Amino acid sequence: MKFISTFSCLIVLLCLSCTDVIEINLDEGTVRLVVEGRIELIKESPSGYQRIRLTTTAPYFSNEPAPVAAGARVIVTVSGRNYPFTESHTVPGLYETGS
Amino acid sequence: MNIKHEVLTHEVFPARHCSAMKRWYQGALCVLLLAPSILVAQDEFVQTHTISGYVRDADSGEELIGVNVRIKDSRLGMATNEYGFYSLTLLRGTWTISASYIGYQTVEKEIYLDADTTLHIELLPSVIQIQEVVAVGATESKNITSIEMSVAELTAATIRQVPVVLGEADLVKTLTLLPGVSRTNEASSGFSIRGSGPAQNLVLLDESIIYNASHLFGFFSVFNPDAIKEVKLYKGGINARYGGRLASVLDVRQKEGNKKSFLFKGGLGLAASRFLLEGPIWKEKWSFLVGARRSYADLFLKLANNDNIAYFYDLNLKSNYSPNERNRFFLSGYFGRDSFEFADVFGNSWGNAAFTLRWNHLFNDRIFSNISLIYSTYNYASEFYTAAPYRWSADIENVDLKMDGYYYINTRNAIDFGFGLIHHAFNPGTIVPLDDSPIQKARLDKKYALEPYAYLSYDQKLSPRLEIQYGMRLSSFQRLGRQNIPLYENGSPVVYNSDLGLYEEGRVVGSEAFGSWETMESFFGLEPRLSLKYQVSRPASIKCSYNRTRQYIQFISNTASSSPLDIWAPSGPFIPPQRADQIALGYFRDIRDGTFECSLEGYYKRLYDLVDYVPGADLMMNNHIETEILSGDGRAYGCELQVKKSRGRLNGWLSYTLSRSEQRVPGVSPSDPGVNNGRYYASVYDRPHDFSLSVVYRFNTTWDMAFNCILSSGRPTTYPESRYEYDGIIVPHFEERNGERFPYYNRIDISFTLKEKWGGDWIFSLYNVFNRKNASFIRFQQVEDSALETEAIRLALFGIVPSITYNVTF
Repeated sequence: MKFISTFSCLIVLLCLSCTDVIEINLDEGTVRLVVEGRIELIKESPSGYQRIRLTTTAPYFSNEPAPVAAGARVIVTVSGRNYPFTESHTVPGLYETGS
Repeated sequence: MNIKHEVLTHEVFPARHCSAMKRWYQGALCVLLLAPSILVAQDEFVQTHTISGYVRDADSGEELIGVNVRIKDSRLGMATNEYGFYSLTLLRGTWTISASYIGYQTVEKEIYLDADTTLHIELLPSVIQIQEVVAVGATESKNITSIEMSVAELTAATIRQVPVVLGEADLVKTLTLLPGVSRTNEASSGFSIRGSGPAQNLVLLDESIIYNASHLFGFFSVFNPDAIKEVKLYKGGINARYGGRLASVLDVRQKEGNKKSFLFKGGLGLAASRFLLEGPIWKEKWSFLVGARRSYADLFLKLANNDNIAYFYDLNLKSNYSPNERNRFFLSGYFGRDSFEFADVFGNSWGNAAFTLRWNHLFNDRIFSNISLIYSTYNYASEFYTAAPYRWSADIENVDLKMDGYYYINTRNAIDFGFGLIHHAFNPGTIVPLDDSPIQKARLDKKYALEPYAYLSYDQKLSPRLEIQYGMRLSSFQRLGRQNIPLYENGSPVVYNSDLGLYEEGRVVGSEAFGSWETMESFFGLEPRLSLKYQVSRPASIKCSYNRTRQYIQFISNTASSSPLDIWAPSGPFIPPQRADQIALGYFRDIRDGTFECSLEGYYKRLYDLVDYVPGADLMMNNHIETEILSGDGRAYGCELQVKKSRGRLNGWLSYTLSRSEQRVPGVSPSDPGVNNGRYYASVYDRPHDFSLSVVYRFNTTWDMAFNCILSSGRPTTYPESRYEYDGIIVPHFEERNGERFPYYNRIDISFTLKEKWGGDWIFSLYNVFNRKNASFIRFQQVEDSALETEAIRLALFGIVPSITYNVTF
């Protein structure tokens, strides 16, 4: 019995000790623009507050907040009509419309 | 005296055909099947007689496969066929016949041949050779004489002496130490041959197709080493007899059962135990074999208060009845099952079942035939114990009726022929709710197909040095109803949405209904096979081969491992059959009278109409798998070196493979990117360098030591190229498929065997001695409780694993 339980512990240990964190050098990929936003039209106020956040991709192990894409010109076109978005003064990379 | 015979065979025979030119002409005639009758007529004219029979193990009465039966001091001879039969037609006179086989003592018999003779040869297993014995004037080894190249033969004894994880001898693990064979993953019993996928290997157990050769996620393979008689792996130069898969054939033959006495074999290991009982029901005429294995890791887990369950069991059955010398009947069965349950979250089970009924019949001393009726099935299921629990299951079933014939016209000409018909039935998926689950019962369309085939292969020894084997296999595949299939706009089930940069399902514009047994689509193809051997000198040969293979059953998986959740789909209206062409060239040389057998082979393979999933494919419970796949092609090339020693205190082999395996998936139209912009990229089976050394050293009659060393390139994988944030979550972004590679794989194993005098042996083994953490998977994730940090997690399945196994035979 002792024999079996010793080996059961061994097997469980084997199963538990098999994951670890490793260092991997990843090549830096091309930087791409990331557009994060949801346009919601609320029936009562069709010109309500909308926002879009622009960031870029970053190296996978950068461990920093996503780099913001500031100074962009953002226009959303709906049925041929343009809605310009302006960059927030306080949060760079955040583009807003309306109030 | 024997020299005289050599003169006879080498000069008198060719003289009858006048010139080399005429011999070539005769070769052409053979294709038209006129030659056999001409040759037979000529043989009758010059007084020839046939000596034929079975070669058997003297202890058990088992027929032995692939025994090198040769006429001493000549270049005449053959290897026994899959049933242990040989037939040689010679001139009247005195001949010395030698039969040699690895692990057995060579037998020589002198006979005076003046009538057709039946000669059964019994070989005694060789006692452990401590002193290095070099047989003087030994016959040439099969390495040199056989026309076959790219072939590996293993006996149960070889498999048993290689150390493996948890001390259990394993066929597939042993195969992966050979050149051109690589592991798909450490935990997987799938194996890759010359850069092709595991589903492109035809795995046969007593002629039945085995769809998943792994147990317990690949810790073991389904083959019980105690029940195995002989294993032959064809990596290339595949005989026309085999078909249905692109890359290779693994032909595993089970023992027939001891015809002379009862034998019990048992093994107690840390992971699994097994037993095997064989013996005669009717001495020399009727024998049986029963074998079983069961793992008990689940019992350990239970003891450790762990709710996970993981176990497998399998059962091997065989019975062999020979009412007389001309007829033999075999019944063999395999049944295996795996079960895995992960703490009330997820359950998984799969199993193969296979039955073969065979009838061997000898029409005369030169015509051997076999008729087989084969049934095999594979089923797999998963249970999800979520809020809405359900069970997902799928299965494949096939019935094969076939006939194989062997016609040994004379020592220089032989024909293999045969035909057969397979009926396939696929159940791609069924969902059944469990308990009071709100999940709806659902079933994907069943798919049916017929696969008729026929082949003819001609083996001709044009001169004592030159041998040629050419064959043709005709294969066909009919997808049958009943099924309704959708009609897609412009006939394309996959379309590219260039705005989103994604592949989407094609637009369905209608549907077509097919009734039961109605042909939906049919394919037909020729598969030429050619092998050539030229014996340069007594210890050296050059061989080359070409083969075309076709595969009508596709395997679609979006993981590199041969996971239990495999999607198998037959070729049909949207999926064409896969094709492959392979050429290989090799140099074979024996050193020191066959003490070292060396081979160097180069190959080049082209593969067409391979299937690959689109990025982000959803393969589960998808009734229209064609909307998720793209078709591509591939190429693989490489060279393999092997040095093998099978005599003396030190036995084993060293192998090195240098190879590439690439594929290309261009997309559905010229404007869309496909995978990796339609460029060639490394397939998951690409291993540029693969080195292995596997040796056994016999200290004395009681102690053996075995040693493995494996060093190979890591497998290609896709790492995130960058990351982005979405709703506070860090998402990895993947760009190039298989653009990176796992760290290299390295492992050293050692085992010691202590043989007790009364038939028991102890095996002490250490797997992965240096405890190297070879990655099985690498996962990228956000560090828990961190908003910004990411990490790479390596899953290494086996560190150092010590084990003890006790085997007993009586």
